[in-house]
Amino acid sequence: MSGDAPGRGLLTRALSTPDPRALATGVMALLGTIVVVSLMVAALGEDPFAAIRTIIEGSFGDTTAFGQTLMVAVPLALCGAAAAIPFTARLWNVGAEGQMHIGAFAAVAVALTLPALPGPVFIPLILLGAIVAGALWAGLAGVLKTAFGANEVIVTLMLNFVAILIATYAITGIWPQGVAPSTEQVPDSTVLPVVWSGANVSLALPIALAALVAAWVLMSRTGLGLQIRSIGLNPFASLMNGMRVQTVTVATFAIAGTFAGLAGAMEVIGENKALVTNFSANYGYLGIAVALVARLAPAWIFPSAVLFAALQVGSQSLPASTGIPTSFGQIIIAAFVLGLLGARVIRLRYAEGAVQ
Amino acid sequence: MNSTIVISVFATGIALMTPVLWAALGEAIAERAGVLNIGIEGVMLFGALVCAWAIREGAGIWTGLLLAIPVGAVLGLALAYLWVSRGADQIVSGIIGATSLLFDEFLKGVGVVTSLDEISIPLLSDIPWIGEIVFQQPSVTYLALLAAPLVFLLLNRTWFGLYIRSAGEKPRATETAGLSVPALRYTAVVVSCVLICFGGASLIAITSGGFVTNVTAGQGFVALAIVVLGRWNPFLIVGGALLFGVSQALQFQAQSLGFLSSLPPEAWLSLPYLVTIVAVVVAKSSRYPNACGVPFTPAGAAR
Repeated sequence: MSGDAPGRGLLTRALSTPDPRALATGVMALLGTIVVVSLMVAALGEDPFAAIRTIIEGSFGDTTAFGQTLMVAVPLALCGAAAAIPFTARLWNVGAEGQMHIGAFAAVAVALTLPALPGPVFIPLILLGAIVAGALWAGLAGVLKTAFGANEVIVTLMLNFVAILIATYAITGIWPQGVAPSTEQVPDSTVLPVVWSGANVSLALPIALAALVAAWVLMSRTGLGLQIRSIGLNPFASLMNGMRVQTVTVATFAIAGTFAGLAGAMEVIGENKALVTNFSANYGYLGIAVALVARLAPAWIFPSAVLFAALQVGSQSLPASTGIPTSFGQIIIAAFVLGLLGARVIRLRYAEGAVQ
Repeated sequence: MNSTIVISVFATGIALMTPVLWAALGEAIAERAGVLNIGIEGVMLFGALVCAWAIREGAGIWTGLLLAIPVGAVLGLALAYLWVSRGADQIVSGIIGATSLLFDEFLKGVGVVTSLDEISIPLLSDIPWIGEIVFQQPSVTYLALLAAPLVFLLLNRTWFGLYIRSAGEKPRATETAGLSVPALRYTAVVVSCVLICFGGASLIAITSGGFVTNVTAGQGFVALAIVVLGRWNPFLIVGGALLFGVSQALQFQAQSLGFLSSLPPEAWLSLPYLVTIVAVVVAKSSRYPNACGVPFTPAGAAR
């Protein structure tokens, strides 16, 4: 992952991709996607340029739209980090969706069971609870992998369904709010304050950005980050060099879980003020695509997340101004990622013969 | 637990295992050829969608099921192109393929109210217990149970099966023997996707819920786990699929299970997933085909 060249500025190095040609190919894939999607729109009998303009205006057109894009980018970026960090070690954590639900569950549990506390104390406690819960939930997959060789793709995915059911039980069984598809509301003191009122952007954005900086520091400036990268390149050589591959594996999963858990908590104590059914619009799964488009580089995760968030938010205004359904945004995302795969921009190094 | 409950749980379990069994049999073929097809979920969704759509348009259930076959073949060709010709990362692209479940948002809500009738096999269905459990099932379920030995014969008793397995174990040696690894893998992926897509369609055919968002609910990944649990052997795969089906069927009898009836419905719903996790943990000594998941570059080909 490191494209570090000596003598360049910190920011340049943070944003550097291993291969500058990849960026060019990526742009080509983006243009190709636009052409393909425009053809699909034309096939539906709609004006592709109007559709593109609608998406751009609906996501960046004014302050409100931009703020909405940023707030959707927050969970996407955090789930992106939850995928990128383990993917760097070639550990396939596809469980961000579940880790996020467990984080949300923990957040609502802390917020509704603790006695009233002032916000500056309460909010960190809630976030801490969610981070720990996410780490434990994801760490379980790491333990099952190292202790029993259980395939982490299957385990993390199955845990997603279990976690979503646990969150559902919180809504239907533990803290039901009448017949509404949500839990009771969390106390007002726990709700994240708005930091940019014009765009309705809450404290979630600075927290997420700080978390991404932490991810970058972890991956490029710490011993653990070095070990994570090393295991991804060659687990056997890492073992021979005295690295405790199993411990690092469990730690990598746990770290991924902290990011996803944080994302879940901030959805609960954000605008919803409760744990709501389907609060995650597949953020956990989209995070995988976010991480891949960022080529697993922490510094690129946020820009990548903004791109996906813009598609998500912008396509919501499609039905109003054109005859295209909202979910067309999802199709654009899928087409884009498949285009990147076909163009082999997304291509992680292969350890020969290693599958699990 | 009295006998009616046991019979009901197993009979429902066998019907519910049908889609997963089709998918797992298909996946076993692809993995034996060295392609880790993680996109099962996406392919199953397409099958379910096509079947539901055909039924809504007035076609019979069997037309919907049969329509899944060419759709599966086309998807198989597309995936094989990515994995075999382009050498795309199989795990990554499979995960993305699976998240094409995003597509279903676009097309959800295709309601279907019919489902395949159960067919009682004369004489055999009169056998106490076994008859009621095994021989009063929808036709797709019988077909899946027949497909298992056929896939076994294909993989283990034909030249084609031998070639495929060699491409999954040591593709370089396969090539040296004068065979085309890409051609073998293409064939395997297409056959695999046809079975998986058919499994997705059978999901619509045996239940009457129609196509709703995320109708497969992770069954594609359950199939992935069942293949590992069944050690790539179609007969053991049937056992693994039955385990999943029965754990899924238990929720319908939860009320009759005495003290367990006080458990929340979410606990029963999560049981099949927990069983799958336990199954993967128990199957720790399973060994993937040696070259499974590794892209193959033919000798002399420049990429």
